[in-house]
Amino acid sequence: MILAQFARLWLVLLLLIVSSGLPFAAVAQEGNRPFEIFAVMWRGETDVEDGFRDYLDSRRIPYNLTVRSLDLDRGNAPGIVEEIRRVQPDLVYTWGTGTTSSIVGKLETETPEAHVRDIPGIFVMVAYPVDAGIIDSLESTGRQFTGVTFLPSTSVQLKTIKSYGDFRNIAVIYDSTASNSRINVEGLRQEAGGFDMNLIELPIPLLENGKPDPEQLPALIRSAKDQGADILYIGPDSFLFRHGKVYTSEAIRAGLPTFASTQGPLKSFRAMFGLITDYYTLGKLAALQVERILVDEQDPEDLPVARLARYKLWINIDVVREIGIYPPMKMISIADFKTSPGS
Amino acid sequence: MSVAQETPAITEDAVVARFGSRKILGRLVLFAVMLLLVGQATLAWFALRGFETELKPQLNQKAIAVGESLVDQIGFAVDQIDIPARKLVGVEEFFSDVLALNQDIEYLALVSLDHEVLYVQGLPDSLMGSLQSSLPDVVTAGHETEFEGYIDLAFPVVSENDAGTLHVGVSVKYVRDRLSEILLEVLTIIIVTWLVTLEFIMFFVGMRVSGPLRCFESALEEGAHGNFTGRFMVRVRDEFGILFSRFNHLMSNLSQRYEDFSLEAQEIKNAQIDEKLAQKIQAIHDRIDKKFRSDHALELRVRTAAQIRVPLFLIFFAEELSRSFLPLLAAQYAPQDLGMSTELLIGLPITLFMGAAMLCALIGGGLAGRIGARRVFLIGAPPAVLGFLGVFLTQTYYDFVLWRVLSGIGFGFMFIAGQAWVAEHVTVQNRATGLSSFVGAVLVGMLCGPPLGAVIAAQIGFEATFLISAVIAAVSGLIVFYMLDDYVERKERPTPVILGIREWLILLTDARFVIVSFMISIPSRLMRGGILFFLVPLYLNELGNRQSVIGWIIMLYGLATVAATPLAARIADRFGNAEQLVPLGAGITGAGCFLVLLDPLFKDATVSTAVIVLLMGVGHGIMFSPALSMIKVVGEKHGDTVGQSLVISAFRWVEGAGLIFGPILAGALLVVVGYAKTILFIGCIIVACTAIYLAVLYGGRREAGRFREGGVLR
Repeated sequence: MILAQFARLWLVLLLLIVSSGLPFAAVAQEGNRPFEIFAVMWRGETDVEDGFRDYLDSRRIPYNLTVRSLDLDRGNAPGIVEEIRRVQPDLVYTWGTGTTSSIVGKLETETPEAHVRDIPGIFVMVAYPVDAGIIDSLESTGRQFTGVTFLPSTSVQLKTIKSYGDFRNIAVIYDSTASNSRINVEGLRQEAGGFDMNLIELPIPLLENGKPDPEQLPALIRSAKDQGADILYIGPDSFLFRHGKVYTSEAIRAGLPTFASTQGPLKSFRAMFGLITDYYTLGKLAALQVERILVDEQDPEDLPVARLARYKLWINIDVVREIGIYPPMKMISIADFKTSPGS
Repeated sequence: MSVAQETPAITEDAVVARFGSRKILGRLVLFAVMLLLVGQATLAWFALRGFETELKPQLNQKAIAVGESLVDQIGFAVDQIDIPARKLVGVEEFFSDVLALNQDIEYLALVSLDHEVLYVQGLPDSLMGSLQSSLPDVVTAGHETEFEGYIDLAFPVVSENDAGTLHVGVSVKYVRDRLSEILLEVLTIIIVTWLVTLEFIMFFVGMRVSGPLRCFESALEEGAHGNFTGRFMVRVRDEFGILFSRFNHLMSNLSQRYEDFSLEAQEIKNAQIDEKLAQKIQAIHDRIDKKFRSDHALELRVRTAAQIRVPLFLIFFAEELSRSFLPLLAAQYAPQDLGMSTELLIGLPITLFMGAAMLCALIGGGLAGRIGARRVFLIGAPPAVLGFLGVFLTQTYYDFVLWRVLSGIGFGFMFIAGQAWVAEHVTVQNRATGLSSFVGAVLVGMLCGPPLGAVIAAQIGFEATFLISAVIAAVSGLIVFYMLDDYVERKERPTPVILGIREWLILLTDARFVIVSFMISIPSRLMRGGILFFLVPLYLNELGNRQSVIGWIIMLYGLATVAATPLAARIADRFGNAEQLVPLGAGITGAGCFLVLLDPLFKDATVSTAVIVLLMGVGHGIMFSPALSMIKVVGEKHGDTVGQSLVISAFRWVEGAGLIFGPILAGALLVVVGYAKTILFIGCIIVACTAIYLAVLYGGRREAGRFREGGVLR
C-alpha cells in the first residue's frame, strides 16, 4: 500500500517537474521577450479571447495580444493585413470563417499578396475549415496554420437528439446558397441512417435575386410537419439565425421541437435544446494550440485541428413546457436549463 | 515439467519428520502456534466487530446522500419543468444508472402518494407487494423501515404537485456478504501465516536445536563405541556453537591424549629388552589402536533432507502468489496491434516461464551432481529475484515476458536444486520422509500462495505483489546461502548419459511408457497449464469475481491434491493395485470439465468452475504418484539400456510439454469458442485419451497380462 503510494507520489513529482520545467526552459531561451500575437475579430472580442488569455497567463507564457476587428466588414481587411506585415508578429489569430478567409486567405488563392501567408497562425470559430477551403484536412492542415473547431461532430449531435427522445423523422430547413449549410446537410445525410433516422431536406426557395426567401419559413415548417417530421434541426446557418425569431415561434406553434447545433438559436431565440460549445473553454483550447506552436516550437502544419471533447447541453424549459415533449431524467440530471430570452 | 507434485504417500515417517520426533519440540511448536492463533483470532474479532458497527451506518448515510440527490432532481423535473410525475421520461433507465454506480444500493422506486409504484428498478417483482404494504402514510426524509431483508429509506419529493415518495433500498444481505468476504480474507491470512510460521519454526528448530542435538547424540554414540574422532563441522555462534567448540576441543584433547599414550606405549615398548614383552606390549597396543583409532575422521554436519523444505517452500510461495492474477496482468500489457490474438499473448508468458524453468531444471540437474544442490540453488536465486523485481517495474508487454522468463530460469534451477538436495540426503530408510519434505514444500506453497497473493494484490495491486515475491525469493536464497551446509560429497557417479536417439527409440517403442506419458501425463499437464494457470483466472475475472475469490478457487486445487494424495495411497495399499487409480484420476478430471454443461442451472459459472478446479485437484492427487510408479517400473525394465533416472527424466520432458502447450492451446481455443467450450474441449481430450489408455492397457487379456508384470506400486 505504502509502496504503491510512494511510487505514485514519485510519478506525480516527476510529471510535475517535466510539465512545469519544459515551458520555462523554452521561454528562457527566448530571452524573456514576450510573444507577439496579433488577433483579428469579426465583431469585437468574445468569451473565447477571455479563455485564451487566462490559459496563457496560467501557463506563465509571456505575450502581447494586439486585437483588431473587421467590424462585420471584409472591406476592412487590407488595412489590417498591412499592419500585420509591418508588425511581423509571432502568430496571427483569426476569429470566424469570414475573418480567416480575408486575413490569411484560402489554401488555394489567386491573390496571395492580399493575405498574410508567411506567419504561423490559428483560427477559432470556423465551422467547416476544410470545406471552406482554408485548410487541407483536420489532421494535417497543409499550411503554416491550424486552429480549433467548435462544432460537435454530426454523430454527437444526432446521438444527443436520439437520447432526448425516439425521434424518427428529422427535418432540416436550410439556406442552399450558403456553403456551411450545404456541408452540414451533407453530413446529416451520411449519418442519419446510422441513428435510425429519416432525413427530410427542405432547402429554402430562392427569390429572384438568388437569395433565400424568409417569407417561406412558416410554410416550410408546416410542410415538414405534414411530411411526418417529429423534430427540426438548425445547423450553423446564418440565414436561419437572422430569422430565428420567426422560425422558432413557428416551430413551437407547429408543436415541433427544435435542435440547434450552435449557441445562437438557443441564446437569442426559442430553440428547444441543443449542444453548445463553451466559448471560454474553446479559447483555452486555442491557447493550448498556440503554446504548442510558440513554446514547444511545433510546426502548425503538423498540428491537427483541435476539437473539444465535451459540450454543454442546453434545454429551454419554457419551450419544453409549451410543446410538452419532456426530456428523459438522465438528461435532466446533466442539462443546463434556460428560459426563453426576454421572458 | 517436473515442477510439481511427485506426490508419495504422506506416511507416518513424514508426519514424525514434520512435527518432530521430540516431544519437547512438538510442545514448543504447538504452544507457539496456538498463541499466535489466539492473538490473531482476537485481533480479527475486534476488527470485524468494528467493521460491522461501522458499515451499516455508513451504508445508510450513502443511501441518504443518493436519495436526497435523486429527490432534488425529480423535484426539479416535476416543479420546474412541470412534468407530471406519471409522465416523467426514462426514469427506470436513470435509476439503473444510479444503481450501477452504487453497488451497495439494491433498489430505487418512486411511489405516488396513493401508494402506487410509478417507477421501480432493482426490486424483485415478488417483493413489490411487501414494499407497498410496508409503506407508512406520512414520511419524513430518511424514514427507515425494514422488510424482507431490506432496509428501506423513504424521501418525499418536495413539490407543489403530487410527486410522491422516493424509496432507496439497501440490502441487509449486502452487509452480510461483505462481512463474510472480509471474514474469509482474514481467515486466509490467519491460516497462511499459521502454516508459514509452522514451517519456519520447524526449520529453525531443526537447524539450530534438534539437528545439532541429533548430531551430538550420534557423536556421543560413536564415542560410546570408542570412536573419538567426531568433529562438528558447523559454524554457528549460538549456545550450540559454544557447545560444539567445547566438544571439538574435548575430542581433540582426547585424541591428543591417545596419541600421547600411544607414543608412550611405543617408547615403553622400544625400551624393553625382552622381545616377548615388547611383542606383548605391541599386541596390546595394536588391539587398543584397533578399537580406539579411526583413520577416517568423523565429520559431523547438520544436514538433513528436510532443511531444503523452507527455502523450497518460499520460492514456490513467491511464484504462486501471482497464480490467481498472472493472466490478468499479462492481459493488461498485451499489445493490441500485433496481429496476434490477445488470448495467445496472455498465454505466452506462462508458456515461456514453464519452458525456461524446464530447460534450466534439466541443466541444473546435471550441474547439481558436480557442484552440489546448494550451489545450484544459489545460481537460481538471483535471476528469480530479478525476474520478480522486473515485473514490479515493468513498462511494456515485452519486458514483462522477459522478466517472467528470467524468473522461470531461476525457478527451474531452484526447483531442481531442491530435488537434488533431497536426493543427496535420502537413504533407503528415509526415502519417504525425504521426499515428503520436498512434496510438502511444494504443496504448502501451492496452498498458501494463490489466496494470499489475491488478497495482497487486491490491496496493493498486481505489480507491487511481485515486489513481495522478489523479497520472499531473496529470503529463500539468503537462507540457503547462510544456513545450509556447503559440502559436496564427491560421489562416484556413473557419468550421466544424455537422452540420445537410441534411448528415445527404446522408450518410444515401450507401450507402457508411451501410453502413460502421452495418454495420461501430457493431457493432465495440458489441463493444469491450460485451465488452472491460464483460463481459470481470466474466466473468473470475466464473471466478475473479486480477486480474493479467484485466489481461493485456485487454492482448491492444492487443497484437493493434499487431501486426495494420502487417500489414494491408502486405497492403493488396501487393494494392492495402484495402476487403476491412474485412469480413475484422469477420468475424474476429464468428467469435471463437463460440468460447464450444467452452467445454465447455476446463477453464474463461478460455482461450476470451482468444482472443476476441485475435481482437477482430486484427480491429479489420485493419479500422479501411481503414474510415476508405473514409469519407475518401465525404468526398472530398461535399467540396463537406458537407466532408471533417464527414464524418469524422459517422462518429465514429455509431460512438461503438456504444461508448456496448455496455455497456448487454451488461448487458441478461447479465441474461437469462448471459455465454457474451451474447458469442455479440454475435458473431451482428457476423456478420449483416458479411453485410449484403458483400451490399450486393458484391451486384450493377453496384452494386459504382459503389461501388468510388476506393475504394482511399491
